[in-house]
This record gives sequence, structure tokens and C-alpha cells, in this order.
Amino acid sequence: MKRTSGSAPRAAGTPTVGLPEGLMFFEHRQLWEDFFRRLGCRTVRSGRTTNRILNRGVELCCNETCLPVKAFAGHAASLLGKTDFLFVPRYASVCPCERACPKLCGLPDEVRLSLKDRIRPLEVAVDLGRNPAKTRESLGRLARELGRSREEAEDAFSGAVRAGLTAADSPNASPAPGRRGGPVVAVLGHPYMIFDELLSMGLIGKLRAAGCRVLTPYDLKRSERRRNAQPFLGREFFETGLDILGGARIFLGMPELAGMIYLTPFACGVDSLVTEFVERRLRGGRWVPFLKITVDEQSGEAGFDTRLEAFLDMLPHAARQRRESV
Amino acid sequence: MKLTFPHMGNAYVSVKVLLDTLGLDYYLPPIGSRDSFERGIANSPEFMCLPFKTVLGDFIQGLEHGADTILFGGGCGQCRLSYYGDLQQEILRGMGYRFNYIPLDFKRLTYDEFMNKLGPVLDGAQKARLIPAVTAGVRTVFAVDGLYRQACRVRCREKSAGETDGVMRRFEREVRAARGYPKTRDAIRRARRALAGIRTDEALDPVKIGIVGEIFLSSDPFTNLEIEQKLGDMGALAVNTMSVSEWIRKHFVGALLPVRPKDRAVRAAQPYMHTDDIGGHGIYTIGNAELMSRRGFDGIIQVYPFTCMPEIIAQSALGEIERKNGVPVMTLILDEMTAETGYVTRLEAFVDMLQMKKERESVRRRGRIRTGAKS
Repeated sequence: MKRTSGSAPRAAGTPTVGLPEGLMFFEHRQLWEDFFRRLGCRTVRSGRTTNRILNRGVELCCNETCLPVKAFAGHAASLLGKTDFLFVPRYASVCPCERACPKLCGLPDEVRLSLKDRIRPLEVAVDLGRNPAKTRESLGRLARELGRSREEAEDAFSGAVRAGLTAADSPNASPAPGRRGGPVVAVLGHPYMIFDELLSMGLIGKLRAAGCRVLTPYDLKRSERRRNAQPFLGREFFETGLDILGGARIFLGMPELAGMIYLTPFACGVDSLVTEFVERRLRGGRWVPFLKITVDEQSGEAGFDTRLEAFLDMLPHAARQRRESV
Repeated sequence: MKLTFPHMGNAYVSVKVLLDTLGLDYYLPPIGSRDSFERGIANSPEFMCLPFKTVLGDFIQGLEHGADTILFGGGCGQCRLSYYGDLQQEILRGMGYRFNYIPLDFKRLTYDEFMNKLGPVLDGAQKARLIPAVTAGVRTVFAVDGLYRQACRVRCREKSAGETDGVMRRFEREVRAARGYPKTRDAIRRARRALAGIRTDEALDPVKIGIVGEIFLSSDPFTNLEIEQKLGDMGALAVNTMSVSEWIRKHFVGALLPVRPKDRAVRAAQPYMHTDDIGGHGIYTIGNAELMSRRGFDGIIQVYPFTCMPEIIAQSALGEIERKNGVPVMTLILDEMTAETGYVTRLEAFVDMLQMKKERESVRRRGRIRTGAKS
């Protein structure tokens, strides 16, 4: 089986591994970088999502796939020929009660198929909840391909990754809170949607520029999010769904919350359930302006901005300002 | 207490047998009712998959007609079906209905599971009948699916068009009225005999089309717009890999076995997906498409509801399967907006294409092809 495309000459000691910066890497980038550092590899990131990357992904993937997966395939394609290996983890479950979206379970294959078998990605099957043996097995394969021993790979995994997958704080979540004093706007969505500047059309930046303080579920402690993830408390559900449900419930309990935005990629299966639960909580409880924006590769930024402006005008804070200025 | 349960293709036949044998009162939602369909859609989230909407519609219909207990399932997994119950209960309670919800664990449908979940609503005598009732229900599942498979074989070869459909319509009428296992079994037997009596053209070599995809849609004629019947009427032999019995085989019979044998379809899918689970039946879609392509099928059709997560992954592998085996694969995605005419056109075009391909190949095989010869 081919390992690399265009085979960049392999440096004898330090192979390079490409990390496509999409999907799970928004949360776990540092973990995997540390993992490969421990294995004596150099990692190369694909960088921010650009229009070129996204368009490439859209060309490569089957058209029913969701926007972030398309972007991910574009990132993977942009790394072709630049590194010795391409790394695409296969997330199935990080702990017993949490499932990954099916698209993450098939991601390495999806990438390989959409790149027409030009590269066979290195993978680690993260299936800690259901079948840890599979994780060990995949680490063994990865070690073989990198020319390392199985023990080295397992040590690197337990040292660098395992604990971080379920750590209390999201390692890569945007740390900088917006300006103090502004209206608090909660932004809900998958980390790879809301933190990707291109896919989210700079949503968080725009809110901050408008003077809002932005909160996302990933600013909260993981354990807190889980404690509030109704109605799936202690029961199995999609991991990102638990994050968002828990986050939404906590934000709704914050008196200073001025508004809530849910950013979802078109036809997202997990969000179809989660948005409904969030909307029902809103309808049944406190009155908070709520904006659900659906985006895909055909969304125009002007329309997006218009909706965002209309939403900002609706916030109680803006209304007060308007009254004062009249 | 009055139970109600949702439709999934012909599953109602066996659920009826189960409940009749137990002696429970129930309301059977109308089959293929536009009204329940519309009400389900109106009360469901937009991007939820089609089965959610039809199931919700059936519940509404049932609760409107005096049912106070819903029998459905739930569980765990990567398919949204496992989480239907939570949201549907919330939606229905929000609509003002009061009811009791019995969630069977879909992943492990064992006798114990039936006893645990149904036990509290049964009296002593009914409890004693539970094991025979479940057994009768399971046997019915296999008998009914066998009948529908036979109908597919006969339909594409029948000499006078519409005979098979007539037999099946009569069967459906009879079985809806039949109470209990013996009567249901008799109805199935009568229908099988009637099908065997239909005059067919045995010399005919129809194009063979395998149906793969999401299990609810593949096995539910109302939501898949009667794909088996339509293909049969076009003269194609439809072989559906997904059925209620397939599901029972996996989750009921499979749960009884101490060790799970490695599935052939899962093995066949490995070159395309290096994993045994991508949620739902996605891996079976890939595996069955590969197996059927290798075993002389002329074409494969994948059907799934719009936004179905596992099937989207599976679809990305089907292109590769098509390229490798040279067997055409068509994907049909359905939702409540699907127009029947456009759907029929696509099926017709696919069948026509396969028939022409088959003819050309058989001519070539017989070595009669000459340049410039009229076809």
C-alpha cells in the first residue's frame, strides 16, 4: 500500500506528519502535536481554512457530506506531497457515554477515498469507550508505519492524548474573552464550525467588534457541561451534542446573557436534534433573542451579515442604547 | 391501557401478532396515511430524518385515537434513531398529550428485554404468554419477509401485469383484519400459494437490482415510494438487502448468540472502510453493495433519507465500488419533498440503462457483434 504521494524524501530520523486543521483538531490539536513530538516526528499544519482549501474539499467530497468534512478533505489535499505522512484520527468514542458523529468514525476512509487512494492516512482509532483494544491495535499499526515500537506509540498516546481527550478544559478553545461590559452573547455550535474563521464567516470576531462579550460552550469546564447536558444526563449521546446542550443550559441560567446564536452546517444530523432541544428550552423558559444560522459552501457573507446585524439590533442592550440616543 | 406503535414497512404484522397473543389492546395507525405523514412533518425539526417524522405522525394518530401507551425503542449508537424517543416524547408532551412510553432497547432485543419493559404493564397470565408471544412475533417477521421476497421474484416475471400486486393488496387487507398468530400465518400461506399460482415467464432473464441503504426507508414501501413494486413493474428483479427480518436477525437472534459471528457484509466492506461500525447500517450498505456487485447483479440502488449520517459516509465508498466492479450504482435520497414522478423517471432511466447494458454484453458474449450491424 502506498504511504505517501509524491514522496517527499524521508528525513532519516524525523519523519514529517501533516495535520489537516479541521474537525477534531480545533479541540485536540495540541494533544496530537504532542503525541507526534514524543514519537520524534515533526508536524506540519495545513493552516487556516482558505477559500482555496474549501473549494478543493467541495470538489473532492460526495455532495451530501457536511461543510466541515468537505473543508477537512480540502485541508488534507493541501498537505499532499508536503509531508511524509498524513494523520487522520478515527474518533468513535472518547469515553463510555459519548459517541462521535458517524462522519468522524469513517473520516480516514472518507479522506482516502476522496483523494482517490493517493495517500493512505496514518490513523489512530479513538474508541476508548467501546473498544479500547481497537485503539491499541491502531497504535501498533501507526508505530509500524513510523518505524517506532508499539510501546513507544502507546506511551505517547497515554502520555499526550488520552487524558486530554476528556480533560476538564478544552485545550484549544478560544481563550480571549471579549471586551468586559458589553452584552454577553453565547455562540453555540461545533468547535470546528464556530472557531473556523472561514466557515463561521468570522462570527466571533464580528460579535467582538460589535462590542459583545462572546461565550462558547468550550469556555466552560467539560465536567460542568456534562452535568448540565439535559436530557442526556449520564446517558449516551453525541459528544459535541452534550457539549452544546450543557453549554446552552448554563448560559440560559446566566442573568447577564443578552442573546444566543447557534451556528450549524447545513443538514447536520447532530444539530437537528440539539437545536430542537435548545429551542424548546428557550420557548419554555426565559425569553432570550435567539438566532440560528445555517451555512454551507454556498452561503453569501452579505446575507449572513444582515441577519447578524438584525440580531444585534434586537439585543436588550442595543435597544437601550437606541432609546438613550433618541 | 391501549397501546400504539409506529409503522416500519411490514413490521406491523408481527407486532400485531405479539400484542394479540398477549391479549393487549392496541390501536394500529393507518398504513400509508397522508394525514399522519403531514402531521408528523409539521411537528418535527426540519433537518430531522424522514423516519422520525413518519414515526411521530403515527404516534400523534395513535394518541388521537385513544391510545395511552407508546411502544417504541431507543438505545445507543451513532444513528439518530436511538435518540428519537427523547425528542418525540418532549414534542408530544409539548402538544399536550399525556401518555406512557415503553422504550425497548433496540440494540439488545432479548426475551429479558421484553420482560423488563413490557412486564410492568402485563398481568400474571399475560406474563406467562410473553415468551410464546415474542417467539410468534419473530417467526411472523421472517414469514412475512419471505412472502415479500417471493412477490419480488414473481412480479418481474408475471405474464399479466398487476397480478402480483393484486395478491399482495389482498394479503395486506386480510392480515390487517387477522387476529393472532394462526390467522396471520394462514393469511401468509394463502398469499404464498396465490403467488405460486401466478403464471410467469420463466425464460425471462430480468435485470437484477440490489437495494441497499438505510433500513427504515429500504423496508418501508410508503416512504420509499414502493421501490420494490415499481422496479418489479418495470421488469426488474429487486433484491432488498434490508428488511425487518434482517434487523431482527441482527438484534434479536444476534443477542441470543454467545459469540457474534463476523458478518460477511462487514468483511466485504473492509477494503473501503477499515472499521466495523460507522453507525446505523452504513457498513452493511457498503458490504452488500460490494458483495452483490461481485455476484452478478446488474445494478445497485442505495436509498436513504435526506441527512442520514451513516449512509452519507457509505455513499462516499459506493463510487469506488462502482469503479472497481463496473456495476452501476445509483443513490436515491428521499424526504417529504420528494416528488413521485421525478423518482419514477430516475428509476426508469436506471432500469433502461441496465437493460441496454445487459443486452449489449450478452450480444458481445455470444460473439455476434459485427461492425455496422444493426442492433
